[in-house]
Amino acid sequence: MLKYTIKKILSMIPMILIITFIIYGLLELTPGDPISYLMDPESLARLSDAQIEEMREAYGLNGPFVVRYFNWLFRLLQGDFGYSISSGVPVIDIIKTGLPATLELAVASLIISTILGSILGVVSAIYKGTIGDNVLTVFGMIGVSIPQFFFGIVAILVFALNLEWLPVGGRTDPSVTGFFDRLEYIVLPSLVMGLSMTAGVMRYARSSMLDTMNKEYIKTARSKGLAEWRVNLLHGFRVSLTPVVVLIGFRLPTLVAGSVVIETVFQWPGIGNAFSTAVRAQNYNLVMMLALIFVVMTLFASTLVDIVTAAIDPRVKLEN
Amino acid sequence: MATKASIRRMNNKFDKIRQQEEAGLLKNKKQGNRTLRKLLKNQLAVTGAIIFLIILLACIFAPILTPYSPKAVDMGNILSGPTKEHWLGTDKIGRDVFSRILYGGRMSIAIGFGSALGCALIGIILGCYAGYKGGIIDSIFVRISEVFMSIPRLILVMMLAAIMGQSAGNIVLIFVLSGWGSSFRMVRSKVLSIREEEYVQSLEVFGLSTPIICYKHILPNALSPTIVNVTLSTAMFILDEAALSFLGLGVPLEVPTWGNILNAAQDLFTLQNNWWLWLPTGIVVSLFVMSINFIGDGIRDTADPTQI
Repeated sequence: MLKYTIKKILSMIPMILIITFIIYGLLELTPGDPISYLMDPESLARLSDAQIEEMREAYGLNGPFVVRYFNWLFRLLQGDFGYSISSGVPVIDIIKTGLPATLELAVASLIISTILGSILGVVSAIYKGTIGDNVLTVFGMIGVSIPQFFFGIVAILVFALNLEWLPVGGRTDPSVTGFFDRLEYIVLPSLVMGLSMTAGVMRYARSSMLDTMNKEYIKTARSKGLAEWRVNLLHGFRVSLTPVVVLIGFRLPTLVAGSVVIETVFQWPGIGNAFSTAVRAQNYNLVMMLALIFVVMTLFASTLVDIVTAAIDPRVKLEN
Repeated sequence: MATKASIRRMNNKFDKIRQQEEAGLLKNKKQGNRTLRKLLKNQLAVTGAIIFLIILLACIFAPILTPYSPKAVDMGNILSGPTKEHWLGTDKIGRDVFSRILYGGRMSIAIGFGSALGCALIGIILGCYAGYKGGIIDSIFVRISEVFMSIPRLILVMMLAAIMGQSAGNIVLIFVLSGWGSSFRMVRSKVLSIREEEYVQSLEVFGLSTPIICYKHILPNALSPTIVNVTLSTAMFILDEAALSFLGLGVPLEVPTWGNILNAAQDLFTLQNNWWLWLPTGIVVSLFVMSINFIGDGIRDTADPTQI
């Protein structure tokens, strides 16, 4: 297990190197002088042309591509992500304020979709072929077909504008207000994001539960005379849960895409919202840095999912 | 479990079938494509196909169905609700919403289908060759596709959109760049299993060239999952285009696409007061994507021999 974990973690390193290399290459392709986002804009404005040239030398911008890349990577490792050219704020500050908001929303919607999706999936697998199962299947299909943002704006219209139960969007400052004041802001975006991911989880949980229910040990459990709910829940559900953990891994890209779209729709001040604003403003350095954060986070999360899956799957343990 | 009654019922049933067979009645039934028959039995797939055809034909025959051009500005008639002249009202600069939905559909469907086809084409060409050849070429392409697939698609798409600029052509290019990996993987894994079959080995013994074995003899047997993939990725790309354009990052706003029409709903006032600007479009997009998903699922179920 430990060997597997170390191997998995080590295998991320070449991947991160390749991805940072690509992102730096793309960044070099964008128009604009790199010095404009590498330095604090205020001090940059005070410099003369000769001094700027000196700074350029100091940042290693006159060297060949590979040297420039490693300089840049080295600064990244020290937490220097450069500056946003539109606001002059260091990118690291934007990430520091945005990331907690993004994670809050992502975790909330992951919890909602996992609980709802696996319960509905298991229920529709147990009652396979009944009207309820068919209705759930069709609903699941509708769920994956409605554009996320459309679902979001309809939710805003109904619950925020017409019924006025919940705020239209935004997020209060977490340090100032209490839990319940903050709750009303997260309810709508996390429900929209969670529900739109539920369909996928449900379909997966259903087929994996069906798979499990055909296994020999389920028949054994049933023939022992165990109560039906015990067979379904303790023997079936527990094992079919393994792929549901894998499904968290599958949902990561959706989660990232969702955080960009939903955060923009609900004006949620996370890095997804910052990302779409930066793309629109062609604020290239910020775009690339936030993309890098998203990619690295996805990579870490999927590695973690791999490790957790290996840890809870009894068949992996047997191999050791 | 089988009781005597049920056995008797089964026996009767088989007797009947045998009688019909002897009388030559079953022959007509057995003709026709078995897969097609199975597909037609799938109610969801048939419903999907009907919705799909209605929307597709309406978009293709847009000039017949609506007299208005989707770009014709009518300042004397702005933001009017649905009337007899304008079935779904007009937008902020007096353009007919119904005709914008139809013409927008042409663009959105073309982008979605074009991108899906592009991905499949690249996936087939590379996947078939890499899967058959193996070795270093194979591992290079697998590595590249891994890198592409490890970047969340929407992030990659938006990154490329920021660099390449906005146009319908660029969007297709970006979608193909970001999506070819999965079809490549699919074709490759199928080819990997086919290449071990005896007929391939005998072709090799006959001394046929690699491209001929690859694309003429292996490819046809590896195509079926790709067809399902094309339908499902068309749906996915239509959704992506809508989301991108809704965020203002997709096709330039003056070109009508479903996403661009929905872009109007970003304004909360429009959202609350001018439902005809966004609600019908949203419903059409959802219906269309849903119909494709139903068809794709139907094809997958029928093509899978393990499913009854």
